[in-house]
Amino acid sequence: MLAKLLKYEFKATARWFIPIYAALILFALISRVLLHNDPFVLKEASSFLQIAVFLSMFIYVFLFIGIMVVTLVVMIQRFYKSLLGDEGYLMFTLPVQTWKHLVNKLLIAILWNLLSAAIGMVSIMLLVPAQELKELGSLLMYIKEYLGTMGYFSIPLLFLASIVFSIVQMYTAIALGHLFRKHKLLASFGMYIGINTVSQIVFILIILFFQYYLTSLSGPVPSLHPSHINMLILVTGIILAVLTAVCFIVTNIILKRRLNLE
Amino acid sequence: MNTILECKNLTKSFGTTKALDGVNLTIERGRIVGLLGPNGSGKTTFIKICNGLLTPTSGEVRINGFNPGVETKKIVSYLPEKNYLNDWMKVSQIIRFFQDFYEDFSPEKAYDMLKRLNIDPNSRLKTLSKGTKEKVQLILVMSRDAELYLLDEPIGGVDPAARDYILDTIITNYNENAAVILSTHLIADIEKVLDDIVFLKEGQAVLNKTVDEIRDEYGKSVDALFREVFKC
Repeated sequence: MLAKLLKYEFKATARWFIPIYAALILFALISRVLLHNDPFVLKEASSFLQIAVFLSMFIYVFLFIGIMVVTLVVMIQRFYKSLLGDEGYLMFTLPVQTWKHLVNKLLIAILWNLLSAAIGMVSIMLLVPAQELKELGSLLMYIKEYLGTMGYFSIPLLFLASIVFSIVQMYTAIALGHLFRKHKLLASFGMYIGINTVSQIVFILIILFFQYYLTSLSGPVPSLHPSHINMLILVTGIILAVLTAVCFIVTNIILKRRLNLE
Repeated sequence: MNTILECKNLTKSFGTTKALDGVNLTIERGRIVGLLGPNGSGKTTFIKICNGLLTPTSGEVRINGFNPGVETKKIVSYLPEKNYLNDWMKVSQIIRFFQDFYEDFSPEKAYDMLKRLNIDPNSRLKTLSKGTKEKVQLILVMSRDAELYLLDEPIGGVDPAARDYILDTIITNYNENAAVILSTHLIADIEKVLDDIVFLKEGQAVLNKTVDEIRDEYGKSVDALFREVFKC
């Protein structure tokens, strides 16, 4: 059943993302052709070319921001409208366990978050001249310098964990808002701020504790060893996972035992 | 196991108002039951609780022995009073959707009914009129070989010609093993197909009899009795 849910959820969302991805890549290419074959050409270029470059860059930036907005809006809308709106009448009368609905929404939201990030990066790489791309390579060097080879795994995993948490956090806020009789959307928004504040406090405490721990190890000037940073990443990752699990369970309980579609 | 649905002391409050107030009801298989009552009497609330879309404040519902959940959703076919169709699918795609999720769904039946009602399977759901959407939803619901049909205002928004066809479909589609509960206030149209009547008044089941009993005891039609009981 989960596979079938995923199939439909993908279809329902892809029609938003595929066209805007294609448009972003297209305008990145157009801008590159106009601009970067020779960056100095622009100064002496005709005003027509200058306008064309300006326009295509403007549209590119607009689409880039658009992708971020669409990713966020579709994520919220697919949860709020298709489970707790009128479409919920269809979804919640399917013979499917509630947690599968949740996992379905979550997996597809993760997919589009990652794809949007990837497409955004690809489009930047298309725009940036080759020699400057090498700078990106040095970023990887920094990771290795500070984190060791572990960094190649721990950084992406931390990135993934924080994406998953930020999504589940929104689901929980919406589900909690659903418990209110009136002003559900406003309540959801308030809940989001609440959950966000709590999780921020938790992370600040971790950092403070970590600092304290380092100072106690090596005196007033903490020296950063790769193993320390990796440890911090690991602890952050575990706490993210725990918070995600708590949010997921709370959301599932609300949708299973406190569902009230009105 | 002849009882398909049983509810005990079912109560649902919204804030301070009680939409359902201690309803006790038993529905047998093989019956077509009319859930009748004026607007706001709790008909929709009752049906939504049976589908697990609302959580009861107290009391419980059992369908085929189970509380609303995956087991009951497999055997309950529900027509909501709302339009639950999304706007991006074609009629043929929503049929495929039902086929994917319900083992008892028959696409042949669905296509046959679409043809009878002149609905093009290739049209997009968002281009359909309100009445046509209601017909599509009813076709989806009646194309299942379910054990319990819960139909909330099944004929409310469609024209009288389609109304007759829909009622025919309901009668011919269900079998001895299945029960149909339909809520409506268009009693005269539907009276001829009903076996049992439940009157809901301010969240309480005030009358629960067969149509024959009503005719014998009161010497009047269900429609006339309704007008008397719910006189304003």
